[in-house]
Amino acid sequence: MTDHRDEITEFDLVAYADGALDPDRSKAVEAYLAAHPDIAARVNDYARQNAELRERFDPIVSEPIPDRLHAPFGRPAGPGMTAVARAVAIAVIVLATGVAGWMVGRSSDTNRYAVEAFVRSASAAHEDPAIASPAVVSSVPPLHWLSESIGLELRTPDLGELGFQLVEKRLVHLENDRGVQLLYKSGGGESLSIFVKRRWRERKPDYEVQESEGLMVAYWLDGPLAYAITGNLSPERLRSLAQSVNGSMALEPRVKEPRLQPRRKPQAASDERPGEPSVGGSEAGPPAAGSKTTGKM
Amino acid sequence: MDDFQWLIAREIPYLRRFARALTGNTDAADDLVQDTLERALHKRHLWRPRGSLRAWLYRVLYNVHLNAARGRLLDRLSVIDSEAGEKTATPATQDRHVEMLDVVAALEHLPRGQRDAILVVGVEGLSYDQAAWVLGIRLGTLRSRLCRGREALWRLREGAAPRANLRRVK
Repeated sequence: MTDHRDEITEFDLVAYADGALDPDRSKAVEAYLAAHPDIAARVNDYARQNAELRERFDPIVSEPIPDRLHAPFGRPAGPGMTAVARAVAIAVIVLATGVAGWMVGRSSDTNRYAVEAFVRSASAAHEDPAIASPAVVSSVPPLHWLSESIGLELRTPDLGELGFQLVEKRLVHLENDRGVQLLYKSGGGESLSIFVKRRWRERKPDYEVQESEGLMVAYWLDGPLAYAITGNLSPERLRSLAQSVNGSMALEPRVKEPRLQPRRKPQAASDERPGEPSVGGSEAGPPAAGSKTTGKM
Repeated sequence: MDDFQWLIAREIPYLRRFARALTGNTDAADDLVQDTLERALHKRHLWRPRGSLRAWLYRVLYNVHLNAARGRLLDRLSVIDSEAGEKTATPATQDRHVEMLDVVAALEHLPRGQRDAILVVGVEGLSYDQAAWVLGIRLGTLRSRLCRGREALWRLREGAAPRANLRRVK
C-alpha cells in the first residue's frame, strides 16, 4: 500500500483549505501538515483568506434590497396587469364575522363556498387595486369602523416578528360589501395584505390547507372570525403563517394600532431573510454539490 | 403569481454579494445584478428545475460581468486579460505590507482568472464542480487557478517567504 503522504500535492492542500477534500484524503493531508509546520502555516493562511472574504462580504446578504432590483419583476398594479408581471407578494385574507349575520356555519363546516368566493374576490382585490380602491371617504379610521359594525374590538396584527410592517390602512370594496385593507411591507420588498370584512360564526382553530385555483389556501375559523390565507408558498409555511396571523389577531378589549412605517425606508433590522433556499432540497448542481474531490487530478 | 420569479427574488441578496465581490463597488454591483435579473427572466426557458437555481443565476451574472468587462476593454482598445499575459504577483515591499494583509486589496494584484476563482469559492462557498461551471472553465483549470492564486495571496500577505520544498503537480 503506497504511503499517501508521498503523494500530497498542491491541489490537495488548497482543496483541504477550502473544505473540498474527502475525509480519507483529508486525514492524509492532516498527517502531512503535522509533520511540516511551515507548510501548515501556509495552508492556514489559505483558510484565513476564505474567512476574511466571508467576513468582508457576508454582511451584504443582510442589506435591504434597493428598489430598482424589484423593477425587473414588474411593478404592482395597474388594472390589467397579468399575473406574471406581479411583484413578489403574499395575500392574506381575513374574514370577520358580523352581528347582522351572514351565514351560520355548522360545527364542521368550513364554508367552502364562501371561502372560495372570498378567496377569488380578495385575490382579485390584491392583484388589482382598482377593485380594492377606497370605496368610502370616511373620517372614521378604517379598523375602527369595522370594530363598530361587528361589535368586536379588533387589533391590527403586529407582524413585526415576521418581518412585515404596516404601511397603510384603508376602506375597500370587497364582494358587495365594505371591508378594510391592511397593507404590510417587508424590508425585502414583499407585500402582504390583510382584508377584513364581516361574516359569521365560530369554531376552534382547525387549520386546513388546500389548493384553490392555482394558489395554496390555508383557512380556519376562530371564534367569530373565519380566516383564509392564500399565497404562493409551501403548505408548511402557509400553516405556520396561519398560526402567526391567528395569534396576532387575538381579540382583546383594547384596540392597539401600531405606528405606520414610512414607505420609503424599509427597516434593515426587520428584514425578512429568505434563509437558505431549499431549491431541490440542497445546493446540488447543476453539478452535484458537496461532491468531494478525491485528491489527484 | 409566478413561482420562478419568487424563487429568483429570494436569491437577490446572494447575487448582490457576488456582484459586490466581483466589481468592488455597490453601484456597479447593483447594475450587474439588475442586468442579471433581466437576463435570467428573459432566459427562463433555459432553466431546468433539477439543479441549483442559485448556481444558474451566478453563472448568468458572471457571463454578464465578463461581457461588460470585455466591452469596456474593447472600448479602451486594451489587450484582453489572459492567463499568458498576466502580471505576476510582486513580493510585498515595506510600504505595501499593510495593504497586502487585506485579502481584498491583495486580490486586486492577481490576474482576473485567479481572482475570480478565489471569489467564487471563498465568498460564495460553491463546490469546485459548481464553481467551475459558473466560471465556464474546466475543473482542472479551476484548481490550477486556485492553487496559483492562493499561493500568490499568501506571498503578498506574508512578504517574500522561502519557497516550500513540495512536490509539484504535473
